[in-house]
Amino acid sequence: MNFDEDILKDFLVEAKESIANLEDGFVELEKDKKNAEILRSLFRIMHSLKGAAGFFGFKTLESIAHFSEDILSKLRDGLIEPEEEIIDILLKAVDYIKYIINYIEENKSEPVEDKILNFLVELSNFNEKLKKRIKEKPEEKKPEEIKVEEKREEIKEEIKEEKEIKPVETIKKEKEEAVTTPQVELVETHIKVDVRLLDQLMNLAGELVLARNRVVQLSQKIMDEELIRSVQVLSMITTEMQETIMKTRMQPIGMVFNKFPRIVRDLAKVLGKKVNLHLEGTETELDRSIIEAIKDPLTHLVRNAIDHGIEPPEERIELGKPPEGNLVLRAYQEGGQVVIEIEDDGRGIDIEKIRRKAVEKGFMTFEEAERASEKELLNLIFKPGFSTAETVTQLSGRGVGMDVVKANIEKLGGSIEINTIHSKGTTIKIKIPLTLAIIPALIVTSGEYRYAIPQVNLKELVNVDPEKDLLKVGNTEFYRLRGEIIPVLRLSEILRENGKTEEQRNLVILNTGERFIGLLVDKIFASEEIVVKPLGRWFKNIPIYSGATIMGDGKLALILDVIGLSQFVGISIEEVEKRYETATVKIKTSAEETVFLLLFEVGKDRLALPIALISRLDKIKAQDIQFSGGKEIIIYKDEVIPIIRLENYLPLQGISEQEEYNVLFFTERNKTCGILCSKIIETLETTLEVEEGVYTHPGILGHRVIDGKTVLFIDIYKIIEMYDPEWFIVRRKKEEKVKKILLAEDSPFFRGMIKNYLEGAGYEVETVENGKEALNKLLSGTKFDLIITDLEMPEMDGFELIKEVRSNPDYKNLPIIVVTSLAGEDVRRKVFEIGANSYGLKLNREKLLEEVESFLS
Amino acid sequence: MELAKKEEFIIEKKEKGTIAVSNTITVVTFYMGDFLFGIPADKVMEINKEIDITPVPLSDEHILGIMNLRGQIITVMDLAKKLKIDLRVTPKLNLIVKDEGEAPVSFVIEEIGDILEISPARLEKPPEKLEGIAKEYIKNVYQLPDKLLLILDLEKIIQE
Repeated sequence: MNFDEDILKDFLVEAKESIANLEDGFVELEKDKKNAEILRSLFRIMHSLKGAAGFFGFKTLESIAHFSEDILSKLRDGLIEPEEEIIDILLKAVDYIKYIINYIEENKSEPVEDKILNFLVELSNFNEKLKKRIKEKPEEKKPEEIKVEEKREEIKEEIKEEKEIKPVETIKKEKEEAVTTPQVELVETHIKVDVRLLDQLMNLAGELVLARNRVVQLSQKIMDEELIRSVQVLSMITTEMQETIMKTRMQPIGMVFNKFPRIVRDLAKVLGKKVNLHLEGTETELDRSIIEAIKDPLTHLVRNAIDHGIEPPEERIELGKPPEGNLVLRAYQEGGQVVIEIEDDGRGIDIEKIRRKAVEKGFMTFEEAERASEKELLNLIFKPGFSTAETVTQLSGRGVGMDVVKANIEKLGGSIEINTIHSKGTTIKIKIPLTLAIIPALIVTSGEYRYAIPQVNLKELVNVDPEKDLLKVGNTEFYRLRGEIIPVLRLSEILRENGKTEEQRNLVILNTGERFIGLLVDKIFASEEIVVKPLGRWFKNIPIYSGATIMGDGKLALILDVIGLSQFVGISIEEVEKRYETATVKIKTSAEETVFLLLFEVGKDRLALPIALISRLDKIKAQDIQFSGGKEIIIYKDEVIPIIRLENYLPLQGISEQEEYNVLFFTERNKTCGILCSKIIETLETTLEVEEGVYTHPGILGHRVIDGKTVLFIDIYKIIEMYDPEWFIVRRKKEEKVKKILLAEDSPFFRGMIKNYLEGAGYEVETVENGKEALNKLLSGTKFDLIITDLEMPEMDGFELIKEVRSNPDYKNLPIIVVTSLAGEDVRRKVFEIGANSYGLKLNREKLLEEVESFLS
Repeated sequence: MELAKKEEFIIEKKEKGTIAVSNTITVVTFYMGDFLFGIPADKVMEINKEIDITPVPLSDEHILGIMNLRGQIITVMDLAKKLKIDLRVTPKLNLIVKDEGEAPVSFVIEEIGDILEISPARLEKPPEKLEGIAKEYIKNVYQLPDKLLLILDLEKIIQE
């Protein structure tokens, strides 16, 4: 870098500062038009800008500054009033100066553009006009002032060499006014420091903390009193130093707030509104990276408040409000957070309008919208594609909506909420952490490396069995968390880690702000405060990292970006919900697969039966069992109940003599029988998954290992039929043709059992394991008289099957019975809506047979 | 220890350079495979041995990962992969170079060579025939008595 570049850099820094001061000054001036102090300061700034521009030979810049200075001098000397027209052109000049400065910074030379030249002409003409105006009103001029004018003309020529020269009168005036409004000179308490230097200091401080920790550990090993004392001092100083260095990165929020007077002024003018802006708590400090990041969201909210919130003056007067709207930007600290409020006294948000819109745009059903609380409705504003503005204005409705604002604030680890009172105003409250540099995070592992997940994104941790608890739709896995469907990602898969993957049972539920996602990880460690450090440019296009951090042992951990991770979710929740029609239906049907099982023992064998099939449980004494007509019976509540010993029909060892037995009563069509067993173990809620193949004996549907023991799932209907083939036979007229039923059911347990009792009732039954197979069977040409289908099945579920069947003209009238094991009103409604003829419980054999019969006779 | 000596060596050379001929460049040289490379010494921060490298999944092939350099997280580049050189050994040395305005970058290299003073006037364009290496990252070559020194185009390697 050569000498010239160095000075140019200094000039640019100074020029930018000048521009900021000019903008502030002009807005101040509008409020307080007689403030000579402001005018003088504006003049001074413009004057030195002109001088510097001249030094570097930036002619255009110099000229703009020159004319502006000229106009300012007339204002300062009271020759003209600071009318809006004048302030406007001066602000415009500041804009051009800003533009030119930016251009110089990038190109090291001045821009040559028509628009700038045009403006220069406009500015010069305006200046001439003012001069004329002053001359036309000579009666207002005092002779002394004319002298000043002339003098100024001379001075202008000298200015390049002698910048310090000021008109004598000005100095005199300054001295006079100094008595009334003492001018505060800023003492040099601040110096400019390169931000990178501060960042480096932060890093070193972090490193020092780690080194300190190691020394502390060592000193505890050595146990030397003197050493321990000095280490304590070192420790204290280190902590304090770290905190102090952190503070160097803090900046007052005024840095952002101060941009708003100008924005508000311009905006109000364009929209024909009058707005008083009040800034409160501008000294509140925030980390500089946050200051940068909140600028855009805040601007958007302020624009919204003026565009949609504050009413035009006429409307306000009609409402009995002062014509000028009030907009407050307020910042304060609360706990470890900074709260920023944007408050207006405008028309507020019309909740009823949101309610209507929610239905119109399909965000809610009519009923939902009717029930929804105000808060729920207000939250819709943050949904993508939801905007209350009737017409999209140039200012607020630029495609970026509140959803983006919310996302940006959440990216900072903050939150946003709206409070509104109709026709009274709206307050938007943003909470953001003091610093982004240190955040609490959950440490997890994948393979041998650690990863950090920011705590703000964390909802909860769940221990799952991926085999059982996750369901797969397409290539995406899902987990049901209290009724909500959450897509699940495996961290090891996203990171494309090859090699051995241990079973991942730790599911971290994350909140992206939009939705929840689950992340399956190897291990979960404790939550830690981590120092966020940026990654190099090579990682910018990898969305899943937001940085890295140094752990206590000096090793590194990557910080995961939850929003980036969510891009890996292949299938949207909406798609899944579509498959199951609605989330509520989904929940109900999903629960159907678990039933309460009764576990009991016959001798040494353990057996299971759905508890719903049993009408009663009781104990009987051995001596109560009687022999009558070649059968064992008991008299139970004045009824003769035949007793069935399972070992007679199943390959069991049988019951040895006991004093007392347990009896499971089974009742159907007023006929009851009892099954003898030696012991009731327990009841448990579980799925009906069974393994088939090992026990192929009739009456056994399959087996499963529960608590380390093999449990046989028995088919009670088959067994009763074996005991008495006539038991279930209802005397029906012999049909000429056997009716054929297609049964779609994925659970082998139910498939076997329902098939058995349908066949027992004299029907021909073909079974398939899912909707797809059922459909293929139908389309293959086999004629069926009835379909019985389960709802939840893999590949194609019952809902889909019914719709497919109904959409085929050949099967428009084919009766369909839906069987499920749990009743639910909305499921019921749903299945009838899509064209099922009947709906019943799987375990209610009697009812199902009745239904079947009613359709087939 | 050896490194420290070399650092002194640089200082010495630099002093000499400024007094006598101001028109030489100091380059740090290193070996990878059969090639001898050079990087201007003022771009080199330090050389480290066997630092823990944390891989960053999903990153480009020539990025080995990140490492902790006194509290600063810096990127480690597999220079051999970037330059498309076939290496028989896994390089272990970290040559840490400055990246103007950004965090430094570490190149893993096979073996460190001498520190040389070279005359810019004798720098040549890389020859057409230069095989077994991605030529676009070689800025210049410099003929040494026994070997051709390849001066790397650091900006290009880092920026791309």
